[in-house]
Amino acid sequence: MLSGKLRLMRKGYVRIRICGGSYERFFNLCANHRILLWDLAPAEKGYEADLYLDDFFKLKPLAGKCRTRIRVCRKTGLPFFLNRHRKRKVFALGLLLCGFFIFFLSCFVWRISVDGNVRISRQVLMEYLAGQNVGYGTWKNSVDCKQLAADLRDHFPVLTWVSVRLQGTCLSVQVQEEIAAQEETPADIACDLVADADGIIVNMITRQGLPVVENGDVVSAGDLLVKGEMPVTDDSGAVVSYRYAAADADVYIRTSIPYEDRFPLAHEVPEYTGRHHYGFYVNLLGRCFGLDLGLGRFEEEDVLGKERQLRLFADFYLPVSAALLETREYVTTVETYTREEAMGIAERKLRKFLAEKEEKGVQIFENNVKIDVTADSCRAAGTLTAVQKTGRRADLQKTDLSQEGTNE
Amino acid sequence: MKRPVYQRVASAMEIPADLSERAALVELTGQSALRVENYLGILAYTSDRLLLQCKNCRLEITGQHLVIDSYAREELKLRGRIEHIHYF
Repeated sequence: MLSGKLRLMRKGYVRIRICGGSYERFFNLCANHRILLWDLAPAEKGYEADLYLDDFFKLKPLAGKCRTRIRVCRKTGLPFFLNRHRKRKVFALGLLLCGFFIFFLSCFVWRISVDGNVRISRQVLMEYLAGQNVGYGTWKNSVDCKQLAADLRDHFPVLTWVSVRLQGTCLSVQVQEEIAAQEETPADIACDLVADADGIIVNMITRQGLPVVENGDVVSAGDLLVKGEMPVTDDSGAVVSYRYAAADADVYIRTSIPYEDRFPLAHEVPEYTGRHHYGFYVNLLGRCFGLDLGLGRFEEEDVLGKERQLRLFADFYLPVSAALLETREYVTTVETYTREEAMGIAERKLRKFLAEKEEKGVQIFENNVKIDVTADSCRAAGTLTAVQKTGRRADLQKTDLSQEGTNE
Repeated sequence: MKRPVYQRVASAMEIPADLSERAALVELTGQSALRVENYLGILAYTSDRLLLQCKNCRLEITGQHLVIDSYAREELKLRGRIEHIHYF
């Protein structure tokens, strides 16, 4: 369908009006001379039909035979367009150069999109890509997507899946990172488990290792909870050797968490005056060309703007970005919170703190935080009693059996 | 009635009539489009009537707003509201 229309436009066609004489004979003569007529319909004082430009020049003898008159109503297609613009050579040259320039631009990478990264920042990935000579303005043919994806996987072990592909002038890098954080100590390396906070042990389930504390014991940060070194004894109960394993246990302690928050009642509030200024700039190949940006026009101002990269089609990005900057003036006024407002703010902050703790698995049992509002400030302070999981892996000290024997 | 030899041979060889006798081949799509092959020419055409000369008969198509979509030696395409097709 589309190719048919393109062919029609390339060859050019005319709509003619046929008047007088013998119409039917004219139509039959056209068919016999292999002249294709389409959209043939009766019109005012005769008939109208479309035919190719080439065929139009064959009509004269046929029209003479049938005593019909032919009049051109409409001309459509490339031959007529070229004929109309035959004197505009510079325009045609400009069109040609423009097409060539766009083709030339399409041979480079003008945008790099990175998706799926959480722990590895975009900047780190971009720096790595730059080290691999891949960046803005890189020749597309020089980018080996498969090799680049393999290199990324090798260089960043945390990436479990990498996809690199070129879409138009956009290099799309999609990554997937490991969901679980890597353990500092692999499970097969022997270690001890020590407390990482002060408190009283309320619950303890040991999966591997020798527990050295029990429920109700008071522990401090750094105290040994579970030993990774387990003695092997003979029938007499004497230690003959030690077996080593990675100590593993769920240890919950009751602990006190200090909380303190203080903020002044007087605070600054920006009030927009309604005066604003618009500026515009274009970023071409890393160079900015501004047009009346108006920065610093007001004493106190906010500048809002978003740079957008121009593109021709969905993935055909150009090395040109543009942004509209809005500068808004504001005046800072000093206001004071009332007692109720200050209490509300302090409570909101405390609730947020508690929610963050609960998200981390800490169960809050007692809340002894008191909020005091004085003449110039608001202070929330106190302790929270909570049950939280404790225990971190630490290097174990191996006991030398021969030395033990000597000492005895 | 005894049929000519070429008709009997074509029938025995199961050659379709549009090939062996150049019988008019009419393809009608709904009430709005029609395609005709094996005709000799147009005898009359207005916006509500098209009369075609075929080898063995004449074909009259009547309707409203009849427009010839394409007209060539091999086939004719017609669109519009087709009401009757009449052979005589």
